[in-house]
Amino acid sequence: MKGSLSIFNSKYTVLFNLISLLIIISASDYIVGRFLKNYYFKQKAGVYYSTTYSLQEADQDIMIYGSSRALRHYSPAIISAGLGMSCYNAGRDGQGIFYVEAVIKAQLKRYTPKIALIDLHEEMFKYGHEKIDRLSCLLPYFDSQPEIRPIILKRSKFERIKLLSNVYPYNSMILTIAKNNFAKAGDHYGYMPLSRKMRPSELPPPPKKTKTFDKSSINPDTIKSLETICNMLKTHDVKVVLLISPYFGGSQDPDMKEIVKAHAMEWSVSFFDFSGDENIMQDYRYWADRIHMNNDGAMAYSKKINRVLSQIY
Amino acid sequence: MLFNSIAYFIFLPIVVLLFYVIPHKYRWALLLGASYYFYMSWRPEYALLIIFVTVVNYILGKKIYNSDSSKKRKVYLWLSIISCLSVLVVFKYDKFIGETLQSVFQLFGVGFTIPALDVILPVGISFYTFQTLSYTIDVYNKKKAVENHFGIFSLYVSFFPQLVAGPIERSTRLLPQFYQKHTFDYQQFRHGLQLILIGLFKKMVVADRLAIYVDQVFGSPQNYDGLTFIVATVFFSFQVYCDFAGYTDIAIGSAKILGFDLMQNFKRPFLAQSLTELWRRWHISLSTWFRDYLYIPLGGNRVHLSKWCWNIVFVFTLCGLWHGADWTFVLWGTIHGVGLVVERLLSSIKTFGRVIDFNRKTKHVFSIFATFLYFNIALMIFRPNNISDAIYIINKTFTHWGELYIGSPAVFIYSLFGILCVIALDVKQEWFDDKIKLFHNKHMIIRQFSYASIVILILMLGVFDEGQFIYFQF
Repeated sequence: MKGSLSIFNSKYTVLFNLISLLIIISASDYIVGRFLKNYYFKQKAGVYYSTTYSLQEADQDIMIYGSSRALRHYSPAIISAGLGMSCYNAGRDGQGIFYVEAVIKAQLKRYTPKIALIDLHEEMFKYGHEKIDRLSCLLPYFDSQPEIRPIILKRSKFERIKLLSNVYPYNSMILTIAKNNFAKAGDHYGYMPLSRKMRPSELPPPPKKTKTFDKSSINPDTIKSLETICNMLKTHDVKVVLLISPYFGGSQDPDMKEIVKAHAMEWSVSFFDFSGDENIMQDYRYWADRIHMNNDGAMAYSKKINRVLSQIY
Repeated sequence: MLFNSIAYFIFLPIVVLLFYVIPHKYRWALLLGASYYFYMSWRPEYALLIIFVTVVNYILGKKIYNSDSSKKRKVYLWLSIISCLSVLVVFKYDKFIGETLQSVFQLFGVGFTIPALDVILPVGISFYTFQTLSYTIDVYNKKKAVENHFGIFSLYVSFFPQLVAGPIERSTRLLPQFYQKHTFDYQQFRHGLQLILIGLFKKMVVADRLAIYVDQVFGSPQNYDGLTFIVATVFFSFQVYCDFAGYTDIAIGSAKILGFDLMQNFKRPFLAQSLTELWRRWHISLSTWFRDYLYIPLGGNRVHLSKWCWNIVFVFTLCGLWHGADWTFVLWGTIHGVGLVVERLLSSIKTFGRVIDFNRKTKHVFSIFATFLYFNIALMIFRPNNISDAIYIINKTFTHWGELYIGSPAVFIYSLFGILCVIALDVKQEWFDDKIKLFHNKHMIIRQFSYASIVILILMLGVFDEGQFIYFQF
């Protein structure tokens, strides 16, 4: 009798301990998660703020989308002055076409820009898990932006389970959130210029042209995503311009450009290839590294964009 | 299936629940099925290799046990060794052997190409082949009776908690546990969960975070200078430790929940005061495997000093080769062997210790630092992608320190935080385990908040990309 009673008691102890542990973990997760969320959306500067602004507040006539190359190569101030329309740069470091799709989906729910400039990077269309993984920057918007959920859920089949946590959406962000809550608000309309200039001593060797183009390296989902973007924008009467900005020393993957060009024609959208622009690609003073132009390069390039766009629109 | 994936945390509770619900006599079948499912969720076809190793060694184990002729027993043992090693040679070392032979023949002006198999390295191949070999060698040495139950033997080869990255168990320890009737033990269950939690912290918060910086630097060494290589190497030492020790903690914890006791694999290695001690604390299941099945049969400590020196260098060179099919690993093993030889020779010079009259604490700190330094110098050869990168990195480290590359300041600070946490944990366990109690505190509320803090830290700072464990490639 005494033995069975102790087993009975020990079972309840186990159950009690497990339940109390779950309660403490859930409560801690809720408190820390709410704290992080509060300060995340209080930011008025930095890359997280730029994403929040792009998704939830931006209302400019011209929107620039893309990866770090879009973010560093297009000056909204110059484009805005040249075309007489407001402009915002919604590019983001390390992102690809799925991020662009998410931003555009969220924006079209709210408002319709007049012109969409989408900067395409050759690597955007290639397989690479990290591109999906980097969509973690959209996790804070999972609750508030239902239209982008399918894109966020591409990350993994267990993403919904992970999102049961209130802390998880702000994973690895705490230091940046803390820093940006003290930072001065930016006034570059999303554009984040690079000041660094490449030195002649660190000039990279000229890029090797890919001998045989491997079509299997292209992720068809990325092409489909770009098609979805173009169709969505066209449905809303947004003028779509696909662009490839310059690379130092010229393009590394000319075949990829041909594919994008062919698709642009098929989808009836404008396509401009500046990847081999002679004036910019050869002048190392315009470059921070082989992929990214510095502020001087971005200014020169943005002026060129203005000339082209003003002829069309 | 990775230990740091959601899939594993769905899989494990199901297995645990079924394990305690079904009768004891069917449990081996459940664990065997679960183990194969666990392995086959990666690449189903490679389960055939485990089946091959299992069947061959089951038959040869029986033959060794039942044979009276010592000559025949030896033949069967060698067949077992050859069968296991041939699997390793074909699937792990074929390219390495081919390239080495080509280079040797080119020296004599003979040029030819040996085609490589070009297959993906089967996960855990070095672990389960060594574990299986330990069984046949134990049977040959009459340390272990033959295992007649094919299902139990198959489970010994493929037991999922330690299948892909150890600890490399011994038949004398693990096989009898499959016959024991395990009842649910709350204390063991709790201890298992604690280990899993700590393992996840080491893997996700420390190892995977450090990997971001380390991979960047060693991936393109031409972009960095000596100071960056020093930092990246120290980061890598903690990365590889936390990656592997984290995996081991999860493995031991998972087995503990099921009532099984796996051997300890790490014992705070960076607090070792000599290389000899380091190898008693680092990857213990591998170092003891080489000790028991290679070093002792070669004569152990009972041979002449010159032969002992040769044996140590030979064993550690093979230990290096076990880690991977590249000269970087071989050289790394040799460096450790040479280090152990030098250490013994120096310790045999009685006056050496009196050259500098350290007090005891200073001597401990100095010894720990010197051991860690030697370990890191060896890692500068272990981590680079090839020998030429290793030479470049070492050359740059000793000739041009240059600027320190930080990369993302946030990632760098998280990395330092992770390292500090691991050092604090190891120091606590080594010297203050009785004084500071968190997981074992008598107050439930402190225990619960300790668990919750680790969970929140993992959610807040862990890397959730389900990164591979480094030792899977070995």
